[in-house]
Amino acid sequence: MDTATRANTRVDPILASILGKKIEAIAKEMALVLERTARSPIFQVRDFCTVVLDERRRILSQEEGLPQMAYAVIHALRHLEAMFEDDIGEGDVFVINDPYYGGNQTQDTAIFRPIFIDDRLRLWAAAKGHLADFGGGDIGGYVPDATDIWAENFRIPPLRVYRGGELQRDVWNLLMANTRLPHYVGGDMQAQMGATAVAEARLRALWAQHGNETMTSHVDFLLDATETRMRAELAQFPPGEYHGESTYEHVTDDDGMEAHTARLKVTIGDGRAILDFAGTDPQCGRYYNGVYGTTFSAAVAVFLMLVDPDIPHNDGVLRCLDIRVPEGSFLNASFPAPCVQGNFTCQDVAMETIFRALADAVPERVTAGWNRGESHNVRGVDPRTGRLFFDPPLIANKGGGGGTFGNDGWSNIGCIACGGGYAAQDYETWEAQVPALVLDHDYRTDSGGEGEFRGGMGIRFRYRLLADEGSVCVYGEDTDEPFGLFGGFPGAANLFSARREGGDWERLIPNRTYVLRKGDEVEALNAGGGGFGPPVHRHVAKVVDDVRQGFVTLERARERYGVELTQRLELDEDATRSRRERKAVA
Amino acid sequence: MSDNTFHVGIDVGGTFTDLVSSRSDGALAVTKVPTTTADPSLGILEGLEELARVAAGDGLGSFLERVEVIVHGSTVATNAMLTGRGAKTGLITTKGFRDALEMRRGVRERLYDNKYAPPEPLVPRYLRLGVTERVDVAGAVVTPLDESDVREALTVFREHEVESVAVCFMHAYVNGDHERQAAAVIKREWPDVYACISHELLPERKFYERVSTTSINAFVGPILRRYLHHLEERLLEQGFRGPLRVMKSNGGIMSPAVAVREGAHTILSGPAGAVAAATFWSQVVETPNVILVDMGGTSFDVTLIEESTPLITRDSSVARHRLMLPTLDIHTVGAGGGSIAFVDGAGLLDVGPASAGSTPGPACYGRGGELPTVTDADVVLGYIDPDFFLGGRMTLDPEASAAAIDRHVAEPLGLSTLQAASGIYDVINAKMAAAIREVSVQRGYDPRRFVLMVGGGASAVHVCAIAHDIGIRKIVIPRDPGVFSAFGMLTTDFKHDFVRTFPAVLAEVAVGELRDVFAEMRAQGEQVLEGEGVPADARSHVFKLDLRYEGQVHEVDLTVAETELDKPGLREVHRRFHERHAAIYAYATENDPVEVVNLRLTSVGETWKVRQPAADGRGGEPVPKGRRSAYFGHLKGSVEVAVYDGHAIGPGAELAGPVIVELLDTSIVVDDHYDFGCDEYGNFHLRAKAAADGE
Repeated sequence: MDTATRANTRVDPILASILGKKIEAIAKEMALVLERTARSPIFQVRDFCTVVLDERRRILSQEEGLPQMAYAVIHALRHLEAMFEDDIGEGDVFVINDPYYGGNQTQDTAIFRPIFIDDRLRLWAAAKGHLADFGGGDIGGYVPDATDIWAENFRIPPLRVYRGGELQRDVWNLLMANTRLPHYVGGDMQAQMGATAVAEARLRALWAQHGNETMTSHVDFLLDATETRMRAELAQFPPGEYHGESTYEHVTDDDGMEAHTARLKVTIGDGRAILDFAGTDPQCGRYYNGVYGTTFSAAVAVFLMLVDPDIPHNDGVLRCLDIRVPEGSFLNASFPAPCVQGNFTCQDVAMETIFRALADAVPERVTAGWNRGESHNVRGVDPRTGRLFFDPPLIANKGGGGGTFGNDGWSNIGCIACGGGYAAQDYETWEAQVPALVLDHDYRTDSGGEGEFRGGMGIRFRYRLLADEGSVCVYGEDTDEPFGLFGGFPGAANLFSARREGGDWERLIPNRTYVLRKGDEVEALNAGGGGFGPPVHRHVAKVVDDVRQGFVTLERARERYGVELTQRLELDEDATRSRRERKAVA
Repeated sequence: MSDNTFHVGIDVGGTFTDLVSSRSDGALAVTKVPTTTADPSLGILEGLEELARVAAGDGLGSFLERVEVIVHGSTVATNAMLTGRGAKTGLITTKGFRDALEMRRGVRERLYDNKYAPPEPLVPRYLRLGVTERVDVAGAVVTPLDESDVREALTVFREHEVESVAVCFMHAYVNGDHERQAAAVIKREWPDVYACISHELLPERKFYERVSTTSINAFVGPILRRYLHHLEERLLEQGFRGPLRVMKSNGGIMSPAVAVREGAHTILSGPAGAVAAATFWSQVVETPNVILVDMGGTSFDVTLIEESTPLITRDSSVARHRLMLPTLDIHTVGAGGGSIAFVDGAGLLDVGPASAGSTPGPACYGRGGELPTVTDADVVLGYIDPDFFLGGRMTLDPEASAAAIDRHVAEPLGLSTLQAASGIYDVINAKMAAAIREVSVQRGYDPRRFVLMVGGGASAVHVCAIAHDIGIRKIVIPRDPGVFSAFGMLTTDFKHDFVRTFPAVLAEVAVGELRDVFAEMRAQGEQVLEGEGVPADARSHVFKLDLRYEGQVHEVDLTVAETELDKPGLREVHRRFHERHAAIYAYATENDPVEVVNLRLTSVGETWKVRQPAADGRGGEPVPKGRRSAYFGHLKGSVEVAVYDGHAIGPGAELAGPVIVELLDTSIVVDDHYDFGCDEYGNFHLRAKAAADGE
C-alpha cells in the first residue's frame, strides 16, 4: 500500500530527509567560504547570511551569521526580479543594498546569483553581508545628523555586476569609486561572489544527480514538512490576542529627549501568528527609522527563538507568520527617510514587543530584556603606517542576554538581534590593526538584572588611543535598562564615556561624533540582561557563588536576593532564612 | 626465540584497552582487556600479562625485560576535560583581562537557543587574578611587571589549595620577559606547584585562544603527571627497563617528561594511533591519499591523509574549550552504532546525534533500550549476525530491533520494517558522507582521489554505501581493525611543533630575519629531541609559513623547503599561495599583498618502526561459512548473500559483491557495487566494479 502512496506523490520521505540535509550543507559551505576569505573585520565575525532559494523565491535553506538578517533576502529578490524580468541570464551576478529595494540596513549588501539548470532558471544563491563603507556622509555609514538616505550611503538598486560570466568593468569601477575602503569592500564582495559560485557548483551537481522533477517534488515536500512542524509548535501557544509595546529614547540635537514607541498586537490561532504593529509611532527625521525588511527579520528571528531551535530555516516557517508593519511608522519608514540606526532600533524594539506580548502566553519560552545596541567606531591615521584606519570595535558591542525560565542569561553575547552570532575581535590582533592599547575587558559587577534566573553580565571595555588624532562616532542608546520579567529586576544600562588625558570620565552622548587625541581613553559599558522571576526564589547556593565570583556584591545579595554572607563570604543561613521570609511576606 | 625483543603499543580506550606487540622478527600479537577507568594502569598490567602469554608464552616479568619500548595512548587528559575533573587551577594574567577565559569571543554556538548554557570556565573567576604589567603589540614594555602582584596571587592560590598555575600575559608571544619573570617568582615561592607559561607552550598571537590553551594545559598537566609517574613506577616494579612514550595529538610521540609539561598535547592521544596506522598503511599499500573513517558507538571520526601526511588543524576544541595547539584534524560528527532514529515534528526521518550509548544501548542489546538505533537497523537488514556479535561474545535480539523500528519509524511513516531500517541506514550514511565531504571538498580536496580506510567499530558495515555515494572506488579494511589504534602507535616518530608569530608582508619580508627565527626554532627542536635521546642523524625539520591576504583573519599554511628561504624561493611560495587559495575557496586575488602571520616548524625524530606484518590467514579458495538474506535499499529488496569468516581468508582471495565477510569485531558488508579481495599483508580491499556508474 505504501508503495502505491509513494508512486502517487512520487516522494520518498527518506530521500527528502537526505536532500534536506544536503541543501543545508550547501548554505553552510557558503558561510564557511565567506568567513574564511572575507577581508573586513566585520565580515570575519559573520555579520552575514547565505541563502539557497528556488525560482519561486522560496528559501530552501539559510545559514545566518546573525539572526538580524534572517529571511530578508526574499524582499530584495522580489525587487530584482520585478526590475529585470526575463533579462536574467546564466553567468549573471546582481548586487543590491538599497533598503527601499527590500534591504534592511544600507550597509547590508546582497549578492544574487541565478542558477540555470537545463536552460531554465531554477535556483538562486544569495550571500548578504555588512560591507564596511559605501560612501554617504561619513565613513562606515552611521551618520547621526543625516536627514535622508543619500547622506547615509551610496544607493544600489538591483544592479548587474556580471553578465554571462563577464565582469561589467564599468559597473564595478563605479561601485569601487563609491567606497572609502575599496580594499575591504572589493575583497568582501569577491568573497560573496565566490561563495555563490561554490553554491552553484554544488546545487547543479545535486540537481543533476536526482533530476529536476525529483528535486522539485522533494523540495515541495520538505517545505510543507517544515510548515507542518512550525504549525505544530504554534499550536502549543494558547490562542488569543496579545499586546506589547516598547519604547526607544534618544537625545535630540538640542539635548532634549525624543521617544518612539512600537505597539504590537499578536494574534495566535490556527497554527499561525499574525503580528500587527498598527499604532506604532510615525517615522522621524533621523536615522532611528527602520524599513520593512528590518522589522520583518526581527520578528522572524524572535519566532525562531520561541520554537524548537532545530527547526529547518526554510520557507515553511514563513508560511505561518504574517507580519504587518504600517508604512510611515518608524518600523517601516517611507522613502527617502534615513534608516541606518534603525537596524538596531527596530530590531531591539520589535523583538522586545514580541517577548513582552507573549510573556503571559508562553512564559517558559520568552526571555527578559537583552542589552540594546550601543556601539561606536573609531578612525584616524595610524602613526605606524601613515594609513587611514577605521574600525567598529565589536568587542565593545556585547552585553548580557535576558534571563529565561531555567537559565541565566548569557554574558558578553548581545544584543539580541545578534544572538551571540559574531565573535568579538581578538585583542592582540585588534591592537595590530588599530593604534590603541586595550586597558580592560571584563564583567561589570551587579550589572546582570537580579532574578531567579539572573540576567547575563554587562561588560566593560576600555582602551587608550595611540594615534595623534582620531574620532569616535557613538551610536545606539544608553537610557534603557533591559527589562526584567515576572519580578526580575532590570539590568544596568549602557554607558559610553571618554576621558581626556588627565581629566575625568565624561559621558559620550550617543549618536554624536567626538574628536580624540593621543592618550585619551574610551570606556564602553554594555548593559546587563534583565532578570527573570523574583530574585528571592534564586537558589541560595547560586547567589553565594555569584558573590564569590564577584558577579554580585554583598549589598545586592542582601537587598535583592535576601541572602546574607559574612565578610569572609560564608553563607549566614539564619539571617538569610529570616530575610527571605520577610521578603516573601512583603 | 629467547633473543627476541618486543615493542608494545597500548591504547586505553573508553571500554577496552588494546595491546599490540611486535617481535623483532616481525611477528605480531594482539590482545584486548576491559579498561579500568579509575586506575587505567591496572588494566594495562592485566593486558600486558595476557600479551606476555600470547606473544611470548611467558610471564609478565620476563616478558617486560625483553620489551624495548612501550608506546601509550592515554585518554586521561581527555577524560579530565570531558568530566571537568582536572586540577584545581589558578590563572595569573594581565590586569584587566581576567575574564577573557570565561567570556570567550562572545559567541553562543546555538544562535537561537536561549536555553543553551555556556560551558563552565576551567578556572573560576575568583582564581583568575590580574597583575600589573603590560607589553604592547610591538613587544615594548608599557608597564613593568609588579612582582608583588604575582606573590599575592600565589598567596590566594595557596589559600584555595590550587594545584596548578597558568600564566598568560598580553603579547607574551612577542616578548615573554614578564612571563619568564612571573615563572621565576613561582619557582622561587612555590617550587613544586605545576605551572604552565603561555609563551613556552604556544608563542602565537590570539589572546583568548592562548589563555584557553594554557589553562587547558594547566588543568590536565598535574593529572597526567600523577598518572604517568604511577604507571612508570608500576612498569618498573614489574621489570620494564625501557622507555615509555606517549602518543601525541599531532600524530607523533613524546617522552613522559614532555607529556607532563605539555599535557594538552595528549587530548587526541587515543584516536591519533589510528591515524598513525592509516598513515603507515598508506605507505605500505602505496595509496598515499587516504580518508580514514571510524564509526564508534556515538560518533563518527574522519581524518584526511594527503601524500601520507595527515591534515593538521589549530582550530580544535575540547569540551567546548578552545585548543590552539596543532592537532590531527579529526572531524567528529554524532553518528554511530548507538545513534537513535526518530521521526521529527515534520514527519521526516532523522538519526542522531542523540545516542543510546552502550547503556541502555540499542534495542537489540536487551539492556532496556527501547529506541531504534543504527545497530538495530543493521541487524534487521541482515548485515550483522545477531549470534556472532563481537565474535559471539554477545547475543543480540533481532525481534527487539524490529519492534523498536516498527514502533518509532515504520508505523509513523507508513513503511515496512525493512524499508524503515533501510531508511535509517541511508540517513546515517548521508550524514557520514557529508562529514567526509566536509573534510575533503570544503578543504579543497576531491574525495574521489582518495582511498577510504576503515579504522574500526561499525564502519565496515556502512562503508560501501558511503563510498559509493561519494564516488570513492577503493576501500581498505585492516585485517585487525579492533586494535588498529594500538598498532599505529608502533609506527610513529617523535614529532614536536613550534610556532612564532612573525607579522610581515611576504613580498617585503626581511629574509635574513626570517632565517634567523627559523634557525632559533630549529635549535629548540634539536634540543627537545636530544633530550628525548634521538640521535642527531635521526632528526629532521619541516618548515611552514601561515599566509593570508592582507586583512584576512584565517590563514593558509604552506610547507616551504629550507632552500626556498630566499628571495626567488619566496616568489615561488607566493605563487603557490594563490594556487592553494583558489583551490580551497574558488578564488584568488593575485594583485593583493600576501601577509606572513606565523612561522611553523615541525621537528621529527625518527624511531624504530614496526615491520610490515605478514598475513596470517590460510591461502586457497575461501569457503563460505553460511548464507543469509540481506536487504539492500537501492535494490529495493532482499538478496541471498554468502557469509565468510574473514579470519580464514588469506592473501590473493577474491569475492564478488554482494557478500558479507565477518571479523571478530565487525562485519564487512560488500554490496553489489564493489568486489572483495585480500592483499599480501592480509588487509581486505573493496574495489568498485569496473562499470560502476560511468563516473
